[in-house]
Amino acid sequence: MRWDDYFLKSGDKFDNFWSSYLKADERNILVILGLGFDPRMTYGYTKLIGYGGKGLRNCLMIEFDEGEHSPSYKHQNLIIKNRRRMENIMPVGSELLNKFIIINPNVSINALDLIKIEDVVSYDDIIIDISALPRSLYFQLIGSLLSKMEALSSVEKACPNIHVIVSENATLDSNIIDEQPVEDATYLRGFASDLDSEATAHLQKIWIAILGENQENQLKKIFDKVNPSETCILLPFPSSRPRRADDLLLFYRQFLFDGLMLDSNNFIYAGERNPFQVYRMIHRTIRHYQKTLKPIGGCRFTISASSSKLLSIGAMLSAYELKSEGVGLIHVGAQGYTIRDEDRLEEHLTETELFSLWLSGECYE
Amino acid sequence: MSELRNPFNLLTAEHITPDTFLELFGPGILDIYSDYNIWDRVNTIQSVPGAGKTTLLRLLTPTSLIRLFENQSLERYRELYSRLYSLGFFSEEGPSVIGVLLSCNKTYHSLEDLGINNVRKERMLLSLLNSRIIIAFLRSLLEIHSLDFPRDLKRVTIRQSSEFSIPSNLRLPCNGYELFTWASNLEKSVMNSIDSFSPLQAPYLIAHDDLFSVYLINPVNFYIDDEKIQKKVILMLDDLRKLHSRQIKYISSLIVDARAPISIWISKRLETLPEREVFIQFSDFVDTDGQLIIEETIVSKGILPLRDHNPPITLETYWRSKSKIRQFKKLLSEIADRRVQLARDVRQTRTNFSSFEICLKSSLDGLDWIKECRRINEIISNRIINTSSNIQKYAKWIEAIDNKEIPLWEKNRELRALEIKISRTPNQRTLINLSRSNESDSIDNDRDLDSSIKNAADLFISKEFGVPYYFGFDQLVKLSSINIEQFLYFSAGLFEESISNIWIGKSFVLDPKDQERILRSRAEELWYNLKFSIPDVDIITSFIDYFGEKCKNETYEDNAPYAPGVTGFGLRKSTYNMLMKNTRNVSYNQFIKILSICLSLNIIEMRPNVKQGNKEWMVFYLNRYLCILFDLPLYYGGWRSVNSGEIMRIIKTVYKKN
Repeated sequence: MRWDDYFLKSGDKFDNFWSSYLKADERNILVILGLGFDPRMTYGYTKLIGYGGKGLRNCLMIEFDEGEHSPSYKHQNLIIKNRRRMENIMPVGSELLNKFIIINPNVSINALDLIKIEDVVSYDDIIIDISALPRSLYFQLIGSLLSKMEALSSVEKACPNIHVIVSENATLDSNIIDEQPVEDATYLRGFASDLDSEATAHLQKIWIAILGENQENQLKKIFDKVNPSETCILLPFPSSRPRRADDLLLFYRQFLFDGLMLDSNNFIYAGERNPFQVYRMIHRTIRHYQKTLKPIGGCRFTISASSSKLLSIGAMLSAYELKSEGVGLIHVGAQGYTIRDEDRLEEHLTETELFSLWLSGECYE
Repeated sequence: MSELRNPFNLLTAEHITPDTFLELFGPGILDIYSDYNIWDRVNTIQSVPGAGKTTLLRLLTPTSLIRLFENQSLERYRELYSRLYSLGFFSEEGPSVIGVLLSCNKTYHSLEDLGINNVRKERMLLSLLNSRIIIAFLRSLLEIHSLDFPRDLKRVTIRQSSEFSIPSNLRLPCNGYELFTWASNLEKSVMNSIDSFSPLQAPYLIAHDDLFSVYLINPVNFYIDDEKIQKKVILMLDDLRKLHSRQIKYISSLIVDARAPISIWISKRLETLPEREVFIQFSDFVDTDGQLIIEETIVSKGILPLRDHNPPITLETYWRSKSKIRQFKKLLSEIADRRVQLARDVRQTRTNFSSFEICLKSSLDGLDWIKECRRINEIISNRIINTSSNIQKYAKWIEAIDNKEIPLWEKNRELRALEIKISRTPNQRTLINLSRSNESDSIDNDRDLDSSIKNAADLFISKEFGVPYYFGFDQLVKLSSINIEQFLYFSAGLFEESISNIWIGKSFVLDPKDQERILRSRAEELWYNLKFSIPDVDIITSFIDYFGEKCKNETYEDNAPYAPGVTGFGLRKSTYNMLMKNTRNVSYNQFIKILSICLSLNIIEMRPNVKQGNKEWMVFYLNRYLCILFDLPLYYGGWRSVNSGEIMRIIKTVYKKN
């Protein structure tokens, strides 16, 4: 497993790590983030520049168009506010760069080439803040950057370190709701493997689903697309809410037990604060099925992450690493998002906890 | 399959095992093909989601056909086998068809946003299709001959027996394994191009110029153990709507032009179609009796050349024709009964649950309702007497109804119908004069209180007194709006309650009140969930709210002018034609857009060519489950006309609100 040994910091340890890391040497960093209405958009960057240290603190802001009917347009004022905030907090000597992409349900998303090697190669550290980025976008960004770094290191060139940071806030997550999921589940570009292949259509399909709240429509769409022979549900446990896993089972009981006819053997568990534990559990599950089903020709795996962004990284890393072994990542996009309790968003910001994952670079060498 | 707790919750046809699938399948749906020559032609099946398209196609795959052939003498499969035999799908030796099912819900769409020109995209699309058609055919070929895929591929030989071009890197003759390897590598190359993290490389190496595979998979080119294949081929392209619109047009025209020596079946959802074409598909091919209309206009629209292409079948239009509605009810009944028999709890408790229909009480007979019915009877009787000028006369009529040997709830219905009739008569003297000519001095119920008034009476009693209205198997069938998935959705809720009752010692027969509670809750949930899939959801919701409230206001007028109630609106044919042709008027375009979204998502239903008052109308009804949300009846028939002025007002109201 590539990330068997991993690097994960959160809370105070996040502060301690980044503070000492940025002060130790001059480091030119590029923070990639999304321009959105989520107040967490600038939270991570503000923290990073607050730790001091020498070097560039550039920011690449990705602006995305969700289509003219996106409910997110109702929150233009928040988007404008975030943009101004970014412009105001940029340190002297650092640049605010922009990129634009269409995320429209009628157009399949292709962010694989959004960031070119020349955009990033001169930096020491690339930090992707996924807090305000749509899932479909950050999966592709991270995958594409990891791939580019592998290509660079294969020709023995120096590569930037790749970090992912995420501002976790359960209250804000519950107040920001997917609007109008697009009609169908699709394999994300870069993570389809051969799951859509006719040549492997006769193989058993295993669906590994990370469960999160209020995703029943999405799960049904994924099920319709994948048509699995077997389903494995990953529940977030342990959790800050001890009954969270039970609540999820109750919520989805009709779908899981009547629709899919699952039993207790179909459930696996991973801590809700550790995406690498998710990664390991998925790995283990895949190896188990591969060994078991090898005599009948093998199988293919589809992973879905209807969960927090933090845990979704674990799913993405598994799919990235095992792509050549028939493991794909599936997603149901939303046409936009809507916010409950908009006036109190900033208040809830204080409950945010930052997580940092180091995915590639010096610490793995 | 005794571990199935609630078989009505089993997900779509694709996810059911072959045995269960055959058990659940109702043979009635095959009647669609009895009027057609289905061989060596392009056949299109289209409908809204859940109407049974994929089910139909799946029936023709090798697994299902073989299973059916092997079990043909079993009672539960006999009729299904017999119908397929008569259509030519079986011979004495077994299945005579190689059904090749290819889903279009795979990757194709992604080709459209590669950074290459359209010509290259089309060629890559052809490469991908060719490879997949060949692979799917090889799999079905082995399966129908009970051979193992991919192990027995080497027993297949391909020799080109007719003139058609093939790519230069494909060498014929070859064996099945070599052909499979060639096609797999081709598919892999295209998919790697789409899915790679690296920039697109050398797309010209994997590009084809035509859909040669539809000629290659002609059975004359194939041999197994050196013996010729004596079967027909049906290539079934499922879910064409999953392609990009540009791809759909391109492939559709290729298929029609190809004049392939095999049958090609296409299934698509109605959202695939451009807005105005949704209306065409509902109206132009079938008249009100379900007969196909072959018109020159079909050809002129470029949709199909008739000699090689059967007119598309829109499943809803087929089932809605008068002669087919009874058949559809029978189909639903068959499907429901089969599901009941698979339920674990029915088997384990040995409940005498012979059919689904018996678990739904269909009348208000019973001790629970006697007291309430008496109370209602008294209230309505007193009301009739108190509001009339001739107390004696009406008292006699009430007495006549009371003396009939019918259940109390039926008497109440007749009383309420009488009340409606009285309120319709401007001069009650007329009603009295009518009655004087009758020796018995009583109103002739059959003549004067027709079924529409009685049906309105049921609704009014329900609304006024909280008596259940939405219950019974007939109401459930109406609620399905000719959609199998919808029927299963509502049935699942009812069955859940029914089997739960068994375990707590109650009767599995559901009381009308419980049925209505469940159906109402399911309807609310369905509408809530559907909103997640509706484009312009706020506009559509406002339109339906407007439409629903209007219907409600007009239904509940005292004299029930549109008995049993208004559940739709009609456009005069001339207004409809004007809307279709006038593409520059913004309001008309907005109206068409709303209607086409509603039609394609089965939120409203269209009845073309309804004759009334010497004119022809296009009538649009609410989906029956939405009628529950507005307390409307489930009958069709009551609708009001809408002219162009009102269309403008509706649009203004709906768009202003949003």
